[in-house]
Amino acid sequence: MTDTVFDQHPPHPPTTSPFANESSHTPPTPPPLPPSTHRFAFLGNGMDYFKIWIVNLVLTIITIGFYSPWAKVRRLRYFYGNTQINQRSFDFTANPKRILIGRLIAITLYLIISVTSNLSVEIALIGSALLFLAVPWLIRSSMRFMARNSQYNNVRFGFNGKLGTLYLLFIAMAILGTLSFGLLMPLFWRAFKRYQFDNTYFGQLKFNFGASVGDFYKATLLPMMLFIFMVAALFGIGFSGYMDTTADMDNPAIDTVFLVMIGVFYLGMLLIIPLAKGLLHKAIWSKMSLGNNRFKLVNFSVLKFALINLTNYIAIILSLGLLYPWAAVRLHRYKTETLSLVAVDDFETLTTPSTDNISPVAEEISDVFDIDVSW
Amino acid sequence: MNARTDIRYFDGKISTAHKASIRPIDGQGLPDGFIVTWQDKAGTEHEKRYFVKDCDYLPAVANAPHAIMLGDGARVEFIGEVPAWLTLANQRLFGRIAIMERRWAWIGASVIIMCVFVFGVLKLGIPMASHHIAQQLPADTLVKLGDQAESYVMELTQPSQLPQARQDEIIALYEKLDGDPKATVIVRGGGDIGANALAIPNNTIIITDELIKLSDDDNEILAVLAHEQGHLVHRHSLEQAISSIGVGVLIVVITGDTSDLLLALPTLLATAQYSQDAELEADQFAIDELKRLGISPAHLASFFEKMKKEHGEGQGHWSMLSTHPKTDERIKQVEQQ
Repeated sequence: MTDTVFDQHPPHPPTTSPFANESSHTPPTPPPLPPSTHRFAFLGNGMDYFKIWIVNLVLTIITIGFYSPWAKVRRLRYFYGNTQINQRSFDFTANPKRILIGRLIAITLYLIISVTSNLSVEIALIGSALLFLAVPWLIRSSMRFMARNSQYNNVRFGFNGKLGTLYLLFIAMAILGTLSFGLLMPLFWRAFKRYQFDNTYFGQLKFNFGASVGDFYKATLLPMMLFIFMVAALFGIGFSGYMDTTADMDNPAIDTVFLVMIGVFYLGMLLIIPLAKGLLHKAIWSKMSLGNNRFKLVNFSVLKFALINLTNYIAIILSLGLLYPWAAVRLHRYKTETLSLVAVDDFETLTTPSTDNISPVAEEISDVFDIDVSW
Repeated sequence: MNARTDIRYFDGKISTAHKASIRPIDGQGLPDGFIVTWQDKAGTEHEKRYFVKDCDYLPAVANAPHAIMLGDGARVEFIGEVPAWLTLANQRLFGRIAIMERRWAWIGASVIIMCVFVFGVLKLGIPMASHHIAQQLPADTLVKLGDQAESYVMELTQPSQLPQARQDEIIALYEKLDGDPKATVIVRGGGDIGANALAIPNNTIIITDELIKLSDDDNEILAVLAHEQGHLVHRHSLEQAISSIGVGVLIVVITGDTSDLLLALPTLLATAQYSQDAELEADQFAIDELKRLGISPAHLASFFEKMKKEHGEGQGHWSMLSTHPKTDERIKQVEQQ
């Protein structure tokens, strides 16, 4: 039921442009206009989102969770609706009832598997194997769902990644990723993000994921080295801790060593994860394009991005969650306001929204199976 | 009352919004649809009819306007409020929710409700629920996990150096206790874990040579065994496992976002607190057992004192994070009996 580790989350609408001709067919085209740069903007603020968030929470609790799909749609409509380019907003148009059905199915399956797996080991194994096998399918369904329900100027996004490709990717990742002790993970991570973006459309315009394997290794090198350094340091602490200790029945000294290790681990991750996120964000978005139009990061600083993430974590933990809305808005604003689109296509002659490259029938059929698993 | 209301209209063919207006169509006296009128770039007038039942209504959220998605791919965006003559599904309900999101009184009340709720769930709901669930689940739920834990502890320890006769005496002590579930007592040389006793959820109690040597009196060892038996009787491992799931779910609900592992830190804090309660509960079980056997519970307290003298408090300001309560607190519990 989780968003998993794949950073495809909601409060960041697939950023795109409306300024485009058909990009797929070749000349003769009218003489290209000089490119114009359009900045993304975010108009929301922490206080407004706090109000929506707290009402969402209370209503979700009062309705024992049944309101949560409506809460999700309101949250995303708030973020999308306040994200603008060229003075026009994005919109999230999902029907909450569909999300509710998806969640009810998922919870029912989970309950059935967890209850029956108490009966026998075989069922438990089969159940978890089935769940594991379903993960790529669920991720793809979610991507389709999120894309289909995102729009700008009444032009829908779309996602048409092949399920087989994702399964191959996952199998390769599970086998080669483990055999290589994680050294190949940046490769797979890039393949996954490329799968995600290269199969995403805005109207008829296709996203192009430009970041190379080299870019991904460059982005992950520093965080990975820091991580290895931290793990080595932790082993050091743990080892010397064990040596110094003659534990008694309640083992307080061992507990303390253990707690110090956990503390150091958390502190380390608090620094490493934001840094990795910032570096990857930069790698991905500075080489992204949509049709002939290029995305560009403006005044984007990896350090500032990491600092915002870090202070967000601290604020959320110290405020016991109450500053979550403020933190979410702050991060989203930074992501939005450092992004721009260099458009060569004309703003006035736009894509036609009705000609989705998926036929209406296929759309209807796949719609039944598209459920939303992200929370 | 053919009032016209100005709207923004996307016709579903091109992605520029038209300046348009909307007016009702009366079915049998009731508006069951509306007509959208707009001019295209060439200045030609267009008109299109829609039925209310074909509308998918998106209620406004802060700056995001009220909108209607229509069956033909068109979209209507309202500039202000939805006109009074148009009744859309759940419109009143979302009107009320929007009011809640605007008024400070509602926001304040919501904050209080949330605080009470979260506090109540953490302090009462999760402990009570996990206690009940732990008691309901079949007795062997954690046996597999316990077997793994046992083999892990066996690796950390060595065979006991004590003579077999002494080991049998210790095991015989356990027989005095009211054993449900009945545990297997194993005596081991402490090795890495030193003076220690552990209750493992596959109903095994492991006690180390070092701990046995630390005691002056078999009644103290009995007290320790009773404490460990208390963990098994109350199924603390199971309760703990269920509690941490509960706290995790609570965090997911609040943040609406599970992708950040770092936010799991509060889980650690909360489960540490539960585990302190579990220690005190196990102590209480030991006290009751000793009393039943006509042995003074003071033996439990004196053993705590001994550990404290041997190793110091060792936890100090970590006490909030620690899985074990302060020794003084535990001694106090014994003395109060």
